[in-house]
Amino acid sequence: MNLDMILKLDDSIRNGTTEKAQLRQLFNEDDQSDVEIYLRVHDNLRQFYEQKSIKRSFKSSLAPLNDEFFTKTVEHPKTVIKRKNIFFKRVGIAATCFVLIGIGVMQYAQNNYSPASILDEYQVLDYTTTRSVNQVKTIPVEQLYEEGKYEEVISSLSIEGIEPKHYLMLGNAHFMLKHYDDAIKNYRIFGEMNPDSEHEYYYNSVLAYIGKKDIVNAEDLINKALQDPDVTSKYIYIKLKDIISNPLMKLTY
Amino acid sequence: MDTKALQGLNIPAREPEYYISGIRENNGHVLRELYATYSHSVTQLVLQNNGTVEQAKDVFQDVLISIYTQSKKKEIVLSCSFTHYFLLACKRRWLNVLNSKYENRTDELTDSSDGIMTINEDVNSLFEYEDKLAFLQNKLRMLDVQCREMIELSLKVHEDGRFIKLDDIAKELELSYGYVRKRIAECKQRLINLVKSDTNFWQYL
Repeated sequence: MNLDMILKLDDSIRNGTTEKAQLRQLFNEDDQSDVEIYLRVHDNLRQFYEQKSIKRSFKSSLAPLNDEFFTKTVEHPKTVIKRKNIFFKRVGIAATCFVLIGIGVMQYAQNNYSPASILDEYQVLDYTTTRSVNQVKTIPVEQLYEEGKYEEVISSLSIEGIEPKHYLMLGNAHFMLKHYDDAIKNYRIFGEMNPDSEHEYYYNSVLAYIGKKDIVNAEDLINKALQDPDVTSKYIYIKLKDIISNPLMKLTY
Repeated sequence: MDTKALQGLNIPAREPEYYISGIRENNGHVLRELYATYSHSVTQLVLQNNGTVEQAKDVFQDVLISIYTQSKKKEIVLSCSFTHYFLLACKRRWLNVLNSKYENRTDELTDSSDGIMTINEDVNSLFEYEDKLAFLQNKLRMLDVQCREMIELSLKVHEDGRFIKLDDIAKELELSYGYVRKRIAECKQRLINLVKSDTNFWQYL
C-alpha cells in the first residue's frame, strides 16, 4: 500500500466521507484489496482507542472495590462457614473425648476411691473380737445383732443397761443403720472404757468417719492410730490412708 | 440455573441479565455483589496457577471490562449460568495472560473453581472482540512511541463525533501541518504493512 493512497483515504475520512462504498470508488479495481485492509485497520484502531478510554474510566470506578476485595483479601463466605464448621467439629470431638474420659475417671474413682467402696471392702470389728475365749454362750442382744435387728439391739441395750464392752455393739448397730455420728460417739465411749481395745476404737471410728464422708477427721484418726504404740496392726491404717489421700477420692464425695 | 457455586452464600441466585445489566450500567450494588461472590474464586484460580493477588485483581477487572464493552456493543445472551460464564471468562483471560507471558510454552491450568470445565461458546464470543483488538495492539507495540501517539491523536474525536483537526494537532505538537499529515500516513502505512505481514490477519480484521 503506497503513501498516497493512505493520505487520500485519511483526507477523505477527515472531510466527512463515512460511506465505505464512496471511499472504494476513489480507487481502481486493483487497489480495492488494500482499501479494504485500510478500512478495517482504521475501524479497529478507532475501536481500540475507544475501548482504551472506556477501560480507563471503568477501571477508576472499580478501583475502590478492587482495594476492598483484593488488597484485604476478603475471605469467601463459604470458606468462613467451612472453617467455622471444622472448628465446631473439633470442639465437639474434644468435648466428647473430655466427657468420656471424665466418665471413665469418675467410674474408676467410684469403684476404688469412694466411701461406699471402702465400706464395701472393710467391715467394722464386732463384739466377737472382744469376747473372751471362755464366753461361748450368746446373749440375747448378740443374737439380735447377728440377725441384723439393729434397732432392737439399740432399744434393748438402752433398757437392759449397758456394759462397757457393749458400746462397741451399740456403735456398730448405729453404724449399720448409717447413724454415723451416734456410732462415732459410742466408739469413743467404748475406747475410753476399754483402754486395751484401741484398734477396735480407731478402726471402727475411721470407717464411721469415712461413712460420714468426713475424710479430714478420718485421716486425722488414722494418723493418731499410726502414732499410737499400742496399736499393733498398722498395715490396715496405712492402706486406708493411701486410699483416702488419693486425689480421686475428692471426686467421689 | 447452576446454583452450586452460590451454595453456602447468603446471596440469592440471580438471572445472568441481572449481573450483565448491572455491569453495563456500572451499578455499584451489583458490582459489589459480584466482587463479594467471585473475588475469592478468581484469586484461588490465579494463585493456584502461578499467579499473584495483583494479577487476580487484573483478571477480574479485565473480565468485567470485557463484559461491560461487549454489553455496550450488543446484547449478551447466555446459554449457561452467570457463575459458569464468569469463572470461565476469568480462566480464559488468565490463559491468555499466561500464553503471552510464556509465549509458546503451554501451561496446564488446574481447575480449582466449581463450574470451570471447558471454555464454551458464550465465553468465546466475549473474547472474539478482545482478540481482535489484542491483535492490533500487538502490531501497534511494534511501532515507535511517536508513531503510536500520532495515530492516537489522529483518531481523537470531538463530542459530536467529528475528528479533531490536524491543524490543532500540529499546533499542540508544535509541528507543521504537512509534517503531521505525512507522518500519520507513514505510521499507518507501517502499521498496515505489519498487519499484512501476519499470515492470520484476515482472521482478526
